[in-house]
Amino acid sequence: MKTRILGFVALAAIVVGTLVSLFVVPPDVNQGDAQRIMYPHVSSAWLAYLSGGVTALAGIGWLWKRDLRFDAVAVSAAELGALFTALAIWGGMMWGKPVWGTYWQWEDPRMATTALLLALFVGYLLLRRLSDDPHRRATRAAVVGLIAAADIPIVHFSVDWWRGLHQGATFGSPSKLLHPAAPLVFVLTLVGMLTAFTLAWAYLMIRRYQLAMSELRIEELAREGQLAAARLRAQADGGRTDRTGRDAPGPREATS
Amino acid sequence: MTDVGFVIAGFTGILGSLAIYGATLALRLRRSRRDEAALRGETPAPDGRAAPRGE
Repeated sequence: MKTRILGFVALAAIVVGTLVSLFVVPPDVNQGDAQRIMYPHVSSAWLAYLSGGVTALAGIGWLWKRDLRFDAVAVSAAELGALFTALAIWGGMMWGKPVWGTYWQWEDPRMATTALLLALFVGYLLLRRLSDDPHRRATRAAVVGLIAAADIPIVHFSVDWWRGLHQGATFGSPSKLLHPAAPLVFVLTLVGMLTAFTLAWAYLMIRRYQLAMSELRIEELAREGQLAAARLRAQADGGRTDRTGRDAPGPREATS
Repeated sequence: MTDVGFVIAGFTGILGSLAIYGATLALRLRRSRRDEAALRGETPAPDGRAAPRGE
């Protein structure tokens, strides 16, 4: 019930945030209406970072404690990481074309490292399909999760370390946060949208974690079922085996 | 395409994808809970949630 309330609050916050972004905030002096895409774009990018961090921390939790609940958290965060990285890229492209004149530029370090982050999240999810053993799967995935998390600071600081098309980080330093250059209405709208998207992320994380735990239980039940079926087969075979240990002839063999 | 067109495409793509993912996730969760209930030999509740044991 509490999760459902969280979902409704997140939905309402996103609706309000969208309406404010589209109809209340004035167009930017330089970028015009295109800057409105910044609100969902930056929020998606932030959640891609958060998802990567949670994937890595949960992976460490698995490697340390060997508790599959950590793995369930990790796969949930990785799936959301893939989603929000893709959304950040989409928002960036829709902003880039009117402002930079291009959707994409591979030479730009921020764009290239973000594409790599998406590939790592997708690779994480694909890797998990290679093994039916939940322990082996969790260990392999945890390693990839840590590699993906290592890419996040590279994505974030790429705009400072290398020269490219992308502008500096929106939230680069604490002083930039406390003394923003942009007008207050822009900053408040961005903070509001960040909050709304983070609430939606929290809701989706809870639901995805519930799904991961349910899938784990199904795997466990299926294994128990296979074990029980194997035992039944063994018992049936035992009934058909004579005292010397050789198979007694079945009905078809007896008649032929 | 005008700036407004890109804004609409940006918002529609992001919010629409979120909505589709949320709906798909709800369906996956419901199906998983139903499968889990079936494997346990329990009757699932109407919302797909596995009924508690002993019910």
